[in-house]
Amino acid sequence: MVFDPRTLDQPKDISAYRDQRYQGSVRDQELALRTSCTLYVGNLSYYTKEDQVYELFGRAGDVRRVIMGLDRFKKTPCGFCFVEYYTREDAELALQNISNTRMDDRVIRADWDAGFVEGRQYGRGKHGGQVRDEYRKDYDPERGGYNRAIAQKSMVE
Amino acid sequence: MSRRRQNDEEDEIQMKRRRGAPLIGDVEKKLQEVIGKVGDKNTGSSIEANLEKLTAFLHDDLEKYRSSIIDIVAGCAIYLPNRVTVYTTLVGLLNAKNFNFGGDVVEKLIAEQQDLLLKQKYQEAQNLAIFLCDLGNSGVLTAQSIGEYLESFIAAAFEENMPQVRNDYYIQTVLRCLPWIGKELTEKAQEQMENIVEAVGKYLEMRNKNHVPLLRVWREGSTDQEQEDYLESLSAQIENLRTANWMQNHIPRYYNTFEAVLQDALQHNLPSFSSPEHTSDMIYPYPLVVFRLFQDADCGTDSQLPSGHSIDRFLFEGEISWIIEKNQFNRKSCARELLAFADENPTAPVGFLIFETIFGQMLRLPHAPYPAIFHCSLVLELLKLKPNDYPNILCKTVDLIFSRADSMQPICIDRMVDWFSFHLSNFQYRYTWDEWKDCISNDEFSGRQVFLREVIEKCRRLGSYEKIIAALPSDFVKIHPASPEIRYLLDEEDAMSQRAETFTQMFQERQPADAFLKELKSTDENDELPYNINEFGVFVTVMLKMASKTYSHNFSALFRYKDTLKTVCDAAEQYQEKLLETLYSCWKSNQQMLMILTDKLLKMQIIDCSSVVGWLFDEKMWQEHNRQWLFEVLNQALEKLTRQINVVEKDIKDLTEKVESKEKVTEAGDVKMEEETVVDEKLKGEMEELENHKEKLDRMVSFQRNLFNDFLIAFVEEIKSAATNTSEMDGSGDVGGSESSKFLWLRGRFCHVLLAHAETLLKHSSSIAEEVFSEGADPNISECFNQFQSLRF
Repeated sequence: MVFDPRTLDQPKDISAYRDQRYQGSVRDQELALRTSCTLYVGNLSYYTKEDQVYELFGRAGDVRRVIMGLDRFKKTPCGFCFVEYYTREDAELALQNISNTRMDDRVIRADWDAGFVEGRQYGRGKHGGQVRDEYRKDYDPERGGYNRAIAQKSMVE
Repeated sequence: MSRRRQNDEEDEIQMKRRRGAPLIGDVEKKLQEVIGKVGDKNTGSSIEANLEKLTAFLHDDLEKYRSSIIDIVAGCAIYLPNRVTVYTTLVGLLNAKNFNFGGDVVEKLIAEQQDLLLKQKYQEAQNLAIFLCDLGNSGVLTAQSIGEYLESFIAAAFEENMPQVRNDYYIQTVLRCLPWIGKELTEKAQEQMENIVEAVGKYLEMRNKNHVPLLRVWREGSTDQEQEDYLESLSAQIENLRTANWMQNHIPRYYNTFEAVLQDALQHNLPSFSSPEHTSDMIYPYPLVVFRLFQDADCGTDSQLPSGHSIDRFLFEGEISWIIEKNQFNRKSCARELLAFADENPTAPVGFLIFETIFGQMLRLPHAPYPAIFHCSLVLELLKLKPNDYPNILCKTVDLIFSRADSMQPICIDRMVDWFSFHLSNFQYRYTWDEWKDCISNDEFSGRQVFLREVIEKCRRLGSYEKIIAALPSDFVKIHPASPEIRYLLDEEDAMSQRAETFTQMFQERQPADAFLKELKSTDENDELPYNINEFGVFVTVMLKMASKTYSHNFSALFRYKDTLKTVCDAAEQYQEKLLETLYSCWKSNQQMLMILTDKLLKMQIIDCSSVVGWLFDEKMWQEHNRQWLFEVLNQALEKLTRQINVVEKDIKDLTEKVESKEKVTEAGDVKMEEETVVDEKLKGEMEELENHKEKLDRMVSFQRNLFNDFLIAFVEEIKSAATNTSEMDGSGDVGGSESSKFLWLRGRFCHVLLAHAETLLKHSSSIAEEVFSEGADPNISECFNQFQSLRF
């Protein structure tokens, strides 16, 4: 029925971001994103711990597992994680209500993820962490200070 | 890129098909948009002018897109109830131009109403009743027929041998319609109006009201705000409104502007309402209790807060609820629309009413209408949009609720704790903590201290131990949470320490699950148990210690040694007890760990629900009964069991349908011989499966019933003992017996359990009445159960 809030669909719409390294066809990826129970959560502090993620995202439903994103070389947290729920509904609830709230005083951002695959827990930047930590312009003490490029330059100088 | 986009579009279409949503054309989309927006304010012209334009526009296309327009109008009537008078005016204007159109709309709405009731969408069906009644104001329906329509609701409420909740719903529907149509009925359908008023009075007199105390957020007599039964309160307000000749300032009557056009229109007769047949599996809305937080003095604004007994207060609450309902999946648009609503009504302190309504919903018993996390994020959003005013209102809300916490039901305190800790985690845990320090010297069962203690604990989990301690004033030490470290109790003196070393080494060598089983085998011939139970405890301790770093470590340890744990735990119940006891002694100071690991063990079926319940209600654990986590674990475990039962029930339903449809095919006899045998065998297999499922369900349901009975008996015993021995030891203060805060708290927890599992427990209620509350039960406790039973009276 028209105007039924359940069919208005805004939250079910998936964002424009696509993982460029997805193994599979575009169609598979779309279907996976629309049926997945997994969220990608970004803009975490490097100091945020797994149990905090459980506590916060547990507010939206039963969490199956949390996978913390790690620096590829140092194996330390690098500012993102995956949260997998048992049901799509719970994941939707988290996306609607937890994304864009704060954890460790940072506005965190959640998005659909096509599902965790081994290897994806590692940062993809040259330095081992996330790519965005190589480009961002601000000074962010909870994510290692300045971006890697600037940090390296200032070390040389 | 374009290839990709094309694919996206295709997929979208595919998705829509799969979901069964019809594909709509551009024109329909446009119609939907213009009709949906006609009630918007701040468009530069008045709603009346917009309505006039829209009427002209639609009238041109009426024949071509008739059914689409009718569908859209029906959607508006069901899902945009806060714009009811806008759309009834629109239908009125169109009806004045095209008599048949009005009739078709009415017919459609009646069909939809029946359909909604069959689907048990009571709120939506009620919206339609209001809409239909309001069509009497816009010249579409005759007052006489509306009077008769409402009388038929009354008749439905007086049918014999029906659940009271069903009757309540029909009476409530009539009462909710009256603010819109009462005046018209009084003038033009006097006889029906009088009948309705008389019947409602009679109904309320004979109605059972036992459930009311159980649904109150605060214990009776503990606040100056009355927490009246909703239906009675509404009825009283309607009576006042009637005496005041239906004068109220709230409903915007757009049709009045068009009186000249509308009064000449031909009117239809609304057919009587026929209530769908009642079946035993129908679940009606629970009764409600009015929730009021603020009084005029609290608001301190120039605008006047309508009194708790006025119809305006009630209508405001209703409208705010409608806006929330409509935007329940989008906190941002919800906050925006609420704010717009406040701006549209500068004469009342709507901000206060918004927070009152939100917290009323959050604390509604037995269940809040939306997931708690939605209310949490909605509050944040509201503060963001109005940073100068709303934080103050929120502070007042929290202060008021905190000041009444001593008499608050534990289930409601839990909900406040969950919300407030989340909220503070968005504001660096900063709060005027100092103002609350008085309650630290209260006894440990006092609601205010429980609230404070649990908020701090949950803040610790959302942030960190260091952060929350730093945010608290120094004199809060008494209620600081414990540092959430694992407690490893095996020291070198311990006789078991050697075994611990062996296990540690085995873990380090990554020995398989079997090796541990062999190692745990009992060597004592007198031992009746196959595995040495104390060594099992050591094994678990060492495992937990080695995995203590993160949840991921814990989970992988549990999966790796699942066979060891499961084989041992399956051998005898004692091992499950040992496992849980060991878990508790290791992680006592980390409640979150206790919760998550217990849950994991349940999911992995290493332990079962009854051992968890047995553990939590063992006398050894009574010391934890003033904490929230224990009841969270309990309710989670019980809830899981219910969900498993629901899954089996659904399987049975699906299988039954499958078998029945096949039987029909076979009976029809169109199938050829050889095919028939194939079908027969398949059918036979399915019927067998069905039988198995039914047996399984019976087993599970009786397991559940016994579990609840045993546990409730144990709980009642504990509460009784709290009433008789109130020693100085437990810090329960001077008052003894059934007035002590410990007794009241535990009894409140008992109500919490009843309410949290209301659907299940109401099914088992006769067995519980017999087993738990037979003769000699403490009247103070059995009273709660009686109240509970009348929830579905």
